Amino acid sequence: MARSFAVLLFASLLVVGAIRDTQAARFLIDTIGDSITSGYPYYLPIEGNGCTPPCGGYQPKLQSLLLAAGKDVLVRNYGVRGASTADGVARIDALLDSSSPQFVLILEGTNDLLFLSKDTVYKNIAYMVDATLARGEVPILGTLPPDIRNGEEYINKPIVETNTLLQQLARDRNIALADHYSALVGNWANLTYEGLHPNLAGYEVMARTWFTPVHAKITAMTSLPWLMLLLD
Amino acid sequence: MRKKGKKILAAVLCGLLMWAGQAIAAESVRLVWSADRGQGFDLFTAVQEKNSWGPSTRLVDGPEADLTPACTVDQAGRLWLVWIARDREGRSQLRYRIDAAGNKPRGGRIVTGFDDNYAPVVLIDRKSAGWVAWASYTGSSDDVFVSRFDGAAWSAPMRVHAANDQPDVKPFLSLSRDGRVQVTWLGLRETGYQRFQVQWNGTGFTGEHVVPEKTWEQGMHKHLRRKAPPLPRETRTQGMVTAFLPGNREIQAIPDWVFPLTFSEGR
Repeated sequence: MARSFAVLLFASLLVVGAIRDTQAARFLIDTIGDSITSGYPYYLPIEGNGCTPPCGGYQPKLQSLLLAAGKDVLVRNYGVRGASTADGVARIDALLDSSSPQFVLILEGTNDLLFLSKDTVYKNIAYMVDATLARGEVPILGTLPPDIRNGEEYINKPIVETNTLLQQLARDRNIALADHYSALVGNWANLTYEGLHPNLAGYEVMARTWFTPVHAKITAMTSLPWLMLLLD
Repeated sequence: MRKKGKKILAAVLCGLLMWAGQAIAAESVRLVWSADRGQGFDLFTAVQEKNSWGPSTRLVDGPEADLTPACTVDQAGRLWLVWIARDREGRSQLRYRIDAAGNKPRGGRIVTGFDDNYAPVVLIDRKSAGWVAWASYTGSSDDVFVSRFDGAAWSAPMRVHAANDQPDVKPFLSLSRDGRVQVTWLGLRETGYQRFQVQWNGTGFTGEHVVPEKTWEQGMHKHLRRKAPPLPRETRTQGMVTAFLPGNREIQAIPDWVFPLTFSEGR
């Protein structure tokens, strides 16, 4: 009887320990993209080196929001100024191999739309999403913010049409999407630095937009052991 | 009689100056870029003058946004310019202009058969024929095309690779050591982007092969290893400036979306 009790106690401790380990695990969130991800114009000399807050535009606020919500995370900044989605395709495999994050936030494409079609942007982002999924990591897509340099939709870049494709991609791959365009467009004149990049208030809006799907995903992942126990 | 003699002398001097000007222009780095000086995006040009850039002049001033220019200069000193003119509906037409002496440009639209055209480049071969390469969205993917100017008109577009549903983008034109026209571009395949190259054999493009990225970068660096002043501030928007590099046998001009234009000290 005493022996059975000891075994039960030991097993219980193991289970509780496992749950606490899961809850305490630090989630690594890699943010990949262009100058909007790098945090231009506030953090100039980073160039995709994986730096951590306070480095970045939306990253410090996103990290603080998640920490305040009880999620132990580290948000890393792999934004590169001027990067295109072809650059993203070129570096995603090596980056994921070296950094092994749990989450990858992908926001890229606004630099492409003068040089190639929205269809190619879609295919490049799809490549990055599939590379992330293939490693068992969680990609979350971001829609492209507006671009109103020169006072109007900048030289007719098809941002809205590209975002429609990205939304379709998120549905097709059953992944989460942070719709920055919708969150920013209504007040973009007050949220942008020069028409293309967010200002500090704009980056804060982006952080809150990322927060919703990231928080939901982490909650789902950390709740799973409790759910398993209940099912048992 | 004396008056007539003066006129002839003036004409000769003027001709000599024009010839000298062309010779200087042909031997200097020339920039062409797109910028908005309050009238929408137009094309501008400037030529290197020792340690600075000469005054900029407006080349193209149209109702559309004139974007992603590429240029070269032929043996006669004429500036060949290709670019994308994007209208308010988002259609992107391929345009060209050949600046004859006396500034009477010949130009117009190169008919591609598609509404979405991107990132043209231009090259003059050793027989003085002009070539232009660009990417068009064909309805299933971006593909790379080439057209040749026979002195009167541009040929029908020739796709340089087999049909596929993957992106083929950002073409670049160069000459092989024996003077053949080469097209190099990026194609997305299963393992990511690869840089492909084909060569004109007189009747079509053949010999598709992959160019290692290191080889490509070393080649580009070699051509940019020259003394030139920093780019004007107005050109610092990525994808909006191209540089004609005189004296190169194989590469005539590099747009900054092909390779970043950061001139280094020549050795």
